Amino acid sequence: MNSSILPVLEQLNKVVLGKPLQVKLTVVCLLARGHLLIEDLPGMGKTTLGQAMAKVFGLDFQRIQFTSDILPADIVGANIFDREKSAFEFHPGPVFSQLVLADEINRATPKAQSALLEAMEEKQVTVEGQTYPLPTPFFVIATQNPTHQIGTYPLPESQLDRFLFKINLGYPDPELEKVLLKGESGRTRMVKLEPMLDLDTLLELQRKVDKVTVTEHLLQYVMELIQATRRSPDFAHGLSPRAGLSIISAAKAWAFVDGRDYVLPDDIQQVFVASARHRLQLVKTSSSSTLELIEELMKTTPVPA
Amino acid sequence: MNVKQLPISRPGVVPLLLAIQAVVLLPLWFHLPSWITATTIGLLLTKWYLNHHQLQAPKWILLVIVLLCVGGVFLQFKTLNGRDAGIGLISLMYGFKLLEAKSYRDASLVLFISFFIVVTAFFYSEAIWMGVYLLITMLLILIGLMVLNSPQGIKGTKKIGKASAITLVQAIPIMVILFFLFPRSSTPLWSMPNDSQAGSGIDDTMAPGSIGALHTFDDIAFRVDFADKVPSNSEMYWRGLVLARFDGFTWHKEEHSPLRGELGLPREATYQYRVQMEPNNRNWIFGLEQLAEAPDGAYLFSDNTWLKRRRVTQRLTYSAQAYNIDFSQQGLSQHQRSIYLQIPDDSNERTKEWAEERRREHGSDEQFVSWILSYIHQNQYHYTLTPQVIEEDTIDGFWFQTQEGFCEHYAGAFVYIMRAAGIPARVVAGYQGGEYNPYGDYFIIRQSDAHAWTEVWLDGEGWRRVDPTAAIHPSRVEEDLRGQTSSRDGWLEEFGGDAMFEPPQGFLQDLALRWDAIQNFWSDTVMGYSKDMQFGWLRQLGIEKNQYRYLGYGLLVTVLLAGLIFGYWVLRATQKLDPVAKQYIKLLTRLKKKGVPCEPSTGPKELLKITRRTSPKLYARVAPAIKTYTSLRYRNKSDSKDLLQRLKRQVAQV
Repeated sequence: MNSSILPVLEQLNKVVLGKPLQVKLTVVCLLARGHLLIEDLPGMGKTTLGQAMAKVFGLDFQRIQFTSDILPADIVGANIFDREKSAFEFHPGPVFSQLVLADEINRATPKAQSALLEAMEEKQVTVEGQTYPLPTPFFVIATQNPTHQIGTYPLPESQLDRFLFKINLGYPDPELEKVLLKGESGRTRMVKLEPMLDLDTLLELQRKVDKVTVTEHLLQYVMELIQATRRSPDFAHGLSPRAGLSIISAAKAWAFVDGRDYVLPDDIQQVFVASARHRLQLVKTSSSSTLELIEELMKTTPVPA
Repeated sequence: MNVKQLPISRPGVVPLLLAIQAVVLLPLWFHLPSWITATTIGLLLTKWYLNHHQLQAPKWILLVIVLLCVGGVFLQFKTLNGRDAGIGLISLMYGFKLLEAKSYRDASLVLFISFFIVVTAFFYSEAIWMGVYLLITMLLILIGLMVLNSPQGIKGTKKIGKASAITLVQAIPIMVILFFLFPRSSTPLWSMPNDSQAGSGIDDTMAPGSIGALHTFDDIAFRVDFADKVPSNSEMYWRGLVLARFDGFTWHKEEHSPLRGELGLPREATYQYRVQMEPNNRNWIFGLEQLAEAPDGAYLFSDNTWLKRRRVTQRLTYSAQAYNIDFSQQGLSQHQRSIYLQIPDDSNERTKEWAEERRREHGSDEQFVSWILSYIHQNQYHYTLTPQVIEEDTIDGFWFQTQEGFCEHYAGAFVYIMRAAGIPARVVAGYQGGEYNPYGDYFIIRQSDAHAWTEVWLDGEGWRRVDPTAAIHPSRVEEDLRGQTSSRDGWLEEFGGDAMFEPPQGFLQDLALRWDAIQNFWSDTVMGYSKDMQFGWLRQLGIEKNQYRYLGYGLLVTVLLAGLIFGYWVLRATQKLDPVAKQYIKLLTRLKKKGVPCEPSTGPKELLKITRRTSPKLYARVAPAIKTYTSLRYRNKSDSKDLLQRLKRQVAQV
């Protein structure tokens, strides 16, 4: 395990109980310069995870609660007339923040959703012809309710593709839940959290992740996995080249967190479900779930020797 | 991923199994007792219903029905053995197995039983279409096996169907070689004891009308192919039985014991031939006159006929040699003479007296025979299949009043007259002639070629064949029968027309002959491939003894060769790999042998973990090898040559 990341993970696991894999994936997502989508029921600790990340990495944090009447200006900001200066002045929205928690993103209308998603992709915001760069790092953790709930606008596939990972938190283990119920609340624990890294260190880590070695053989393995998704009759269409790139950068970050400067097929397998799940659409006739199919696919695709 | 743990409720698996079972059982349904057929269909429908609604049949109900069915089979057949009872029982059990099938194991068992049950259809029919049907069924079962072993179930069946077809095609060379080399018994593989298949053919009694009745059957009695020379159609007398005892109405076969040796008469070999006989459910077989050495399993009798110990209930193939036998050295004992002169005292008095008188008018027996034949030729004797029926004194009635009949009337009356005149004579029953099939180069002898002729004993010459039917004047032969009599008996050629075979005419007849040639090839060469044929071609290769050993060698060579080809194929696949991959595969194979559960999808890191967990002792030796491998494979190292050497050493140590 990477020595500078290990204490960060330890701190986070103290706040988000019993979810080491999800916590690790979140850190990996940040290091890979991706964005994270968490899909779960309300009250599973999505916000806690976001806040804890901000605290531990020393990032400034903004939370946007998406509602059905939220407007793009509420997210990116707007030009407001300043009477004293007799001029319009740009008032940045909450998106101008290093870590943005977009809560219940699928409760907003597509127009509001796309304002955020465009910002995520471009890492800049354009208001009335004027472009404003977003801070670095820029990390969005979006949460969404399961799409079958009332009052949700499911994110279009093209926008889902902009998230590096989609993870589920799920209910905690009964043991841990008891600890959670008995002990101090997450908020108080959160207050105790100290920033573990400064901004420069984080950017340095991100640059190191870029330098992690990926060999030809590994690319071959990724290719085969992607092609397997394209061959499978259960998926409407297979993974895109962008998905392939995401998988590789995620695997690099995972390998780095594991303390290696080279990627192993095992790293691909660790990040594959989280990176592929939200990008694959089941055909209507399929009787299995996406998760089952992806796991099956990994088991039937041999690792090149 | 272990497919064996997947449920067979994957889409399409159970419906496919049901379809396969239906296809496998279909040819049997026509032969099994109707309640078994109904039960197996019912079981299929029940399974379909249960599968559709995701239900399971209660165990105890199944047990009760199984026991009822076993009881039913026993009541039906009074046994659980034998062909019909056995097939009935296995068909029922096959249905029950599928009904209770839940797991991979059950389903694969059902499929493997299918391979066995599918061939039982050959017990009922050996026809070509059955062969084709079984091949298609085989393909379907293969598809079933592939679907069962595919995690996606029925999905991608097109690909699976193609793969099964390729598998089947790849198996064909091996199938052909095994067909030739696999040691055969002298009877075809499918012969079953006590097979009471009905057959038609010549009987061991002859009454007016009995052969005439056969004449309407176009069924094939046997097929013959000659080794080199072919006799003319008029020479083709296929001898079956000698009927010597006459009770005034019917001619009967005399009971004999078989000859232990040959007659020891001077003889000259004429035609070498092979007969492929359809089952006639009787124990006499037919040979081209004159007969000598009996084929395997048959005996030669003193009246120059062959009998088999058992009735011919399966297609029978035998080879034989025809001879010209000089009977002049042979004497006729007093006992034999009395047999061949026997006529009942109390009937046909008029013919008897007439014969005695006429004989006195002629100097020798031979002259008398000729005179009778010309008497038939010149007088108003008619050849017809529908003669008037005579109630009593049939010979008197035929000879003096109706003067019309079929070969048995003429042969019977002729022998009667000869005997009355004191000349030993006997009726011979068999077939005469044959239709040549140019597409298969063989002759077809049909039931309609059944014929009766006679033999008379002339002192100093022995038995001579006389065919009185052939003496009838052609103008007095019924139109549609004319072709037949004209071709008979060369001895009387002056009475008949030319005896040449006429080639088939017309498109339909041509087609029929072609089809018969294909069928003959199938039943004779494919289904009837026996020890004789196998040893025959071995002999042509110069192998006269120890044939089984050579067949064994052949099989061994085949297996080795197939193994080599397969090995080469696998080798070629691995040769494409680079040295690092080869070493890693070697390592994986070794680990697998030592019980480390590594799948092809296991990454190196996971493999390390698994090894540490399952065999900690091995871990110390495996870990460096895996680490070297990952360095070579997934890190850009400059000293890759040294690393490869190290990897080789480390893998060797595992």
